[in-house]
Amino acid sequence: MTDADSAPPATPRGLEATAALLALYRAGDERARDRLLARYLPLLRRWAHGRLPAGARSLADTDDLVQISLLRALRHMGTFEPAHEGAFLVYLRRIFLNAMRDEIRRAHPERRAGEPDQGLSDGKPSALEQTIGRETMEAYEAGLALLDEGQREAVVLRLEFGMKYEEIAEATGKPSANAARMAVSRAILRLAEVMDEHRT
Amino acid sequence: MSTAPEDPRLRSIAEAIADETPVDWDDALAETPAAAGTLGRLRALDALARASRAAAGAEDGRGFDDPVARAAFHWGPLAALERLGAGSFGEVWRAWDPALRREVALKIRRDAAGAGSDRRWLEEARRLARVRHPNVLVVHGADVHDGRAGLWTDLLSGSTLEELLAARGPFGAREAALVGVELCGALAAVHATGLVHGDVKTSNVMREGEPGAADGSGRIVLMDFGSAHDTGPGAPGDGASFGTPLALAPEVLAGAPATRVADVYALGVLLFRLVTGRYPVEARTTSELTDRLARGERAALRTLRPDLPAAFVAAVERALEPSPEARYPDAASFERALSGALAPAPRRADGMPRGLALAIGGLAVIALAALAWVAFGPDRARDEAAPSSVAVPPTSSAPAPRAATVVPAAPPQVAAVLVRGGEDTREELKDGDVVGPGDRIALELEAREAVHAYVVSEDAKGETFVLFPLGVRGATNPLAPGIRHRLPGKAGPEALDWVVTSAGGQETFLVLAARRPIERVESLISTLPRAEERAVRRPLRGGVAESGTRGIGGVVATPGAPAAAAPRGLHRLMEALRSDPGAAVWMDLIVLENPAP
Repeated sequence: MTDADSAPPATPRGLEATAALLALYRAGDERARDRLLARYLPLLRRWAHGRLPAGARSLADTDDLVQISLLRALRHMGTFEPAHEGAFLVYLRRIFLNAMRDEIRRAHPERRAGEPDQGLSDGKPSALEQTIGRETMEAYEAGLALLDEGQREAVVLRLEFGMKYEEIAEATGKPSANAARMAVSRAILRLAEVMDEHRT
Repeated sequence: MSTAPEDPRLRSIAEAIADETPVDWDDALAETPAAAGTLGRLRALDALARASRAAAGAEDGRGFDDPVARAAFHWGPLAALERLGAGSFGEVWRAWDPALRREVALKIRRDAAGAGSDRRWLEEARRLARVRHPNVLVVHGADVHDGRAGLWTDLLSGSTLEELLAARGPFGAREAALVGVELCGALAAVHATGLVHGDVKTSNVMREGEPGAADGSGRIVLMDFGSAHDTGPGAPGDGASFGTPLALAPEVLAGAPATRVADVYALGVLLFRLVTGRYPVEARTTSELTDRLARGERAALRTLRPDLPAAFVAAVERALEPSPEARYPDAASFERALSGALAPAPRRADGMPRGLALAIGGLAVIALAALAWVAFGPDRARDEAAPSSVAVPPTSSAPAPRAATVVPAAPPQVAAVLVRGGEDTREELKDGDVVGPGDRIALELEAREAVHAYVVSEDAKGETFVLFPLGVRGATNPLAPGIRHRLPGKAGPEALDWVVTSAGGQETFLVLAARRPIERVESLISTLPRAEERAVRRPLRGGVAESGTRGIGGVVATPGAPAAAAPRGLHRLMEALRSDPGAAVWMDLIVLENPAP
């Protein structure tokens, strides 16, 4: 929280708008919630397409799940103040994946408590899993968790959200598009190095 | 966790994945087999990225056949579809431009060479984008996306001159000269922007048409401006680092920056290669090439092709002069020399085709040259002595005195046609066509170089008027090259026309064009009335002036007036110009009938 009497630190333009909207929403401004939804629903929807497991599609379509995830994210943010808009997107991503797991479990109550998490699927892979393989998806998620926050943001924003370098620079506080590009490539290489380590 | 330093090869692969450019995985594995595990995971990440993009594309509602959905990657708004090639400067892709709604060729710089270098490259590319010439590859735009500079151009189909040479063997002199004339025009257009090409060679020139087709009817297009750079003040003087060594002018090979005359030299090399299949100086290394140039060891075109016409040989040999000062000073001069080797014999007034409406582009040049070649023939070539290989003096010595050779100045290449029409119609007029009161007429004119144009009319009474230039309104001389001008031009946003205001007799139009103001004509027209000075200023249809239209009047004939018995003023003017070999005036005469009702 910044001192009201001191000059606020420089923040990327996107985050500044998001942070302002979040603050308004926490203060009870429903219009701020609507504006946040308008801003992030299309982005999340586009990202989430093809990630919903085939077996889970009967529970809720992607659009509903995206909206649920976003509302849940806003509701449970508490004092979470993302340093960058990129961090906020990564946070939304995690909320969505968690929401997806919750929906799958709810749809399959026959699973006993304590059973190993079968991941994001009940055996029927998502369109994305069908393309690259479930094992790769699991290794990818495990590897992401081993990266530092900045590397995780770089990979997710570029490889999953498909953001341009200029947008990534703005979302992560990098000084230039080229700096963002270097960060992304380094993060990709680092991820490839650690992706297999979760098995050891 | 691994703390080993980054492997540069793996790093470049990671960059390619980030940039969404394809990776040759087999090649990568062969180069770094020890990193097979990491390579496999990099490949998985690449697949994940592609799958994410495909999924997002499906979400956007794009179908399978949508080029955007099929893209290997996206560069700004363009969807890169297929890699066509790679060179020292970067890669060339077949791409889809959603704004143009067609495929284009996308050339992306290999790596970010620094913001300063990218900025200069973009400035030059954008300057090239302003060149509009039928023989220059159209550059649609240049920009930076994802940190990579690139430009996109027309996507051509055809064969390069090098491919045609390999398929068919050496060209004939006529065809080579025609190629040279078109490329001179292209170079002149590029040079006019302050740029030089820097890498003129057979593989950078394409003849449009079916790949491998042997016919010579396709458009000649100068491409690959990867070596193009600024010649203006403050421009970086690194031209010597570009270009193909065997085609480089000696001074550029020695380290001097590329210039216009260096482009002329390179074009001379191109033409030499077209007719012989080899280079003037051949060498396996740059140092060997430099040594041979210094010793003046160069094959003589006359020796390799004794059958070539002397004028063509002389033109090419001058372009290949080791000393820049001895060459043609610019592409236009070289073009005049090549055109002179193709120029038709002067035509008498009574035998001159009247109202010849020339098509724009190469077809007209070919047709004209075909007529000329019949008159030129091989006999004159055999009359020339064929010396053995000559040693060209080293560059440091003064050029040898040249035998006096008079090459008549060729007129500029111009295409012009009278058209009739209004806002939504256009009809080409030819000799003998009938016009009537109210008809709006204009002249569409296009030239390969800047020209001073004049349009003078004469009615049945022999009264002469200046239709162009008007002086106060409309277009002005000189007319820019490579643009189809519609004369008399515009007044503000509205196009001006000449309007037939009454019937009776003939209307004769004389169109003249020259590289410089024609003094005789300038003097004449200063004494003549101009069309805008006529009383009628608006087109009259049924006696009622139309609103919303503009006309400048002017083409008037007195009803019932007999044809003038005395020689007409326009013909006298034409004879005077034709008899002056230094005038180099292009001219055309069109006679339209304007019968009385």
